[in-house]
Parts: sequence; C-alpha cells; structure tokens
Amino acid sequence: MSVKVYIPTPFRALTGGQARVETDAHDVKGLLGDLETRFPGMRDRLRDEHGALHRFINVYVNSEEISELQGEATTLHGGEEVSIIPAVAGGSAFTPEEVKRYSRHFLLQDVGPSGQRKLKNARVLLIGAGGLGSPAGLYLAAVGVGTLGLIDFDVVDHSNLQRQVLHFTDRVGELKVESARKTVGMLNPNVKVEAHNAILDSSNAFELFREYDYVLNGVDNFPARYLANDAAVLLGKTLIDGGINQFEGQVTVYKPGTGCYRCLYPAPPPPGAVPSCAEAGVLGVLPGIVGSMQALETIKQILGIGEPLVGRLLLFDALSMEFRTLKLRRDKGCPVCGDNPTITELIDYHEFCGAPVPVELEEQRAHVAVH
Amino acid sequence: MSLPVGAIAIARSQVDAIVAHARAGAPDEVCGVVAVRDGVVVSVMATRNAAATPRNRFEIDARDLMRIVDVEREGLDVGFYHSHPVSVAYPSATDIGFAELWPGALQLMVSLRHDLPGGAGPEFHAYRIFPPRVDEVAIAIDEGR
Repeated sequence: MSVKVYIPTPFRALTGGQARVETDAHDVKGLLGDLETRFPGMRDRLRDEHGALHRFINVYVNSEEISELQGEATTLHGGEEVSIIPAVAGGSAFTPEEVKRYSRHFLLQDVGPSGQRKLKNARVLLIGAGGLGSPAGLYLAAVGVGTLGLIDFDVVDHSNLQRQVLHFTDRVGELKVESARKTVGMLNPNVKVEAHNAILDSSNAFELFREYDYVLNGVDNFPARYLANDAAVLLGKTLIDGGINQFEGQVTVYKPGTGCYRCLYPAPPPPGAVPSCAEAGVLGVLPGIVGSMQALETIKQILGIGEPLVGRLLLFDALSMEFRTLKLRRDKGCPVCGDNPTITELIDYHEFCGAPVPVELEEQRAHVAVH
Repeated sequence: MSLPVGAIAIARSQVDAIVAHARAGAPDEVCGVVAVRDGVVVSVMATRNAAATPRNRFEIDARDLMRIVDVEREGLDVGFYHSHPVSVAYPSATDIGFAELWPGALQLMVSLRHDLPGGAGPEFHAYRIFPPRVDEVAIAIDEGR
C-alpha cells in the first residue's frame, strides 16, 4: 500500500504543481529520498550541506511530527499521509529592552538597526582585564558587542583599583575574569562573556584567537605583546593594539597585510630597559583614554565606518594633550608578516624577550620609530 | 497556485480577534494561520508561539502547523499573521528572511506600539513577501461582519 505525501505550496513548483504525490517507501528517510530523486531541487529545500534535514522543515506522519516519533527512521506501513511543512517564523532582531537600550544608536545614520545587529553578532577577545581591558570591556559591553572573550589569570589587587575600572573594592582577591564578568553583566546583561582564567601562551593562543573576530590587546609585558602579535598575524586576525607608559599612550590597528608589531619593533627591548606600570607607575586615567580608543577602533571595525588607525600609530601625551600620528608601513622583510616569513609558528616568547638585542635590529628599530 | 497581488477583504470581527490575541500575548509576539478564498479571509486561527524567545521571535508551534494542511484540503489559500508588540507593523529583516520558506504568502501584521491609553491604537497591515521584496497589500475591512 502506498503512502500519500502532501507537498506544501512553496514546493509545488518542483513537483509540476502537484499538491499530493504518492510513494512506496518503508520509512520517512526512504520517502524523502524518493522525493529527492523524482523531483530535482527537492534535496536542497529539505537538507543542509551536511545532508541533515533543515531545522525548519517539519515532516508529519498523519498528525505527528517526526521529532515526536523516530525521526527519519519512523516506519511507514502504507496508507499514512505524510505532510512536509516548512516552519512559519519571524521576529525582530532586538527585544523591546534592547530597542530602548540602544535607542541612541538607532538614531545614528551610520549605526541604526543594521549596525547594531553587526555589533550583536561580533565576537571580540580582550587580552587582559586590567588597565586597558577595563575601559575597553566597559564600552564594548555598553554598545552591545554580542560576545566578549576575556583572558586573564590574575586576581584583583588593591593597587589595581586606581585605574582598572571593571573592578571594585569588594572584588579584591577575586579572579579578574570573574569580577569582569560580574561588572559586564550589571552594565549590559545582553552581552555574553566568555571568561578564560588562564595565561595566554603559545599552547593556547591559536585555539583561543580562532574563536573571535577581533582581538584587543591589553597586555602589560613584552613576551605577551609579541605572542599576541604573531598569533594574530598567523591566523589573519585584526589586532587592536594599545600601550601605556607613565603619561604616554599609543593606539593602532594591525589589519592582516598592513604590517604588525614586529614591523615597528622587530626586537624586544633588553630586559629591564622598559619598566612596567608596577615599576614606573602610571597616571590612573591614562589607560582609560587609551583603552577607550581601542574600543572605539574595534567598534569602527565592526561597523565598517570612519577611517581606522590602520597604517597609523596614534601617540598621545597626556600632560601636553598632544596627539601625533606616525605612518606605519608593512616591513617586507618582517619575519612574521613579510614577503618571506621565517616565523610560521608560535615560539618561546620569554626566551625571545630575555635574549640580548642584535645591533642591526636596534638600529632598525630607531629608524622606524623616528619615521 | 499563488493569489494575485490584490486587495484583501477581512471582517471587522476577524481583525478584532487578531488584535485581541496580540494584546493577550503582549509583550510576547503571537502568531496564527488565516484561510483565504478569492481574496476574502474565511477564517482566522490562533496558534501557539513555539519560539525560544517569544519576546522578539515567533514560530508557529509544530503541532499547530498541521492546520495548513486542513486549510488547503478545503481548497483555501493559506496565510499567516503575527504581532509586533513594540515595533512597526512592517516585516523585519528576520521576517523577510523566514519568508524564503513561504514566498508570496499573505502576511498579516499587527503592531501594538501605539496601543496605549491616549495612543492611536493597534496598527493592522498586510504584505506579500518575495524576499527581499516586500509588497504591501491593501486591506478592506468589512465592518458589517
């Protein structure tokens, strides 16, 4: 005995207009296979590229949907009516809460609902939830970046509170990534936080960076800087870089193919030559400004608006309030992003930063900085 | 077998039923199936919304989707309705995307964004979507029925 198949209106162009066809299959899988053979184009309507039935295609045996039965293995004995019905669905991308929350974005021509959707779909990784990661994280969360990854192994220390505005007095002793997750959650619960309580190193950098669209550098040491740079270049990720030192800040965007940190600084400074914030101190508000600019550049990348700091290094002097930009060019001889790269894998960056700097590289560095 | 793009006639009582369903479901979106013969809405059936986030999504519950087969068995054309509790009664990008599955079907929409005391009241519109194109369909409301 055969089985009748109800063909929904949108599929009838494939069946020559027939609303009902008959088949002799023993199970739903066989029935669908028969339809796919008889009616060209049917397979694409029913299945995804892996061959699985589209989630939006409902198949009923008499009145029961096959997900309530045995799926495609549901047996047919003959005499049943099988109905194929595509889902009827829709909706708005934003909840009423989000429409209110982002109303000031919706008013901007360069953002609007489509821009807000881009922000919502974006995945940004923040390396470090400290001085730079704090303002960057706050603003990326505020504007509605859908997923924020945070990697930091540190705990909140009293001395952090002078500038690391993701954290508070009652968080001292807590893991920075957990403190950050809490703050982001209070500011914008629509943001998904992926917290990684770990040190970024050669063993996890690739796996981590792969998951995100953009990487925002908030690191405070040279090995991590070179690691983040190399991983971004090797994976083709855009890196939004920032640095601070006492009263000065720097921001730039390294987009694949436009140069990288090594083009600017081919070798790390000798150990001890450049003091960290813990050693030399930093004006509390300075990372707030630089980190906010990093967030701004990330948002511009996501939205595709304005002129990014690609090929430009922005230098900021907090005391004189002078902003300068230096042109950055890709160094064709760069070992990682040049025409003939010699670095094709992540290396030991602590070893790299502990080694003395060859004379030729020091000269090259001085040349690039002045230019 | 698709209807020409012409005006749709609908009874006041049918519009009221859709609006009542939308109000009852707010702030979630609601949805339903309509049966149409020769441009006249014959019946309106509320269905369950099975979307995981009904606040801003609708998906006709799989158990209610079978109504479509019943409508067509009677020789009628299938259409749908859904509500936008806070946004305009116009297909969103998501609505247009999903219309790929039912291109050209009559899509009735009601918006409750101005349905507040002192406001202009619910807004009712009809469309046929051939993604990415949205064609508005004129509605003639029969106040007598």
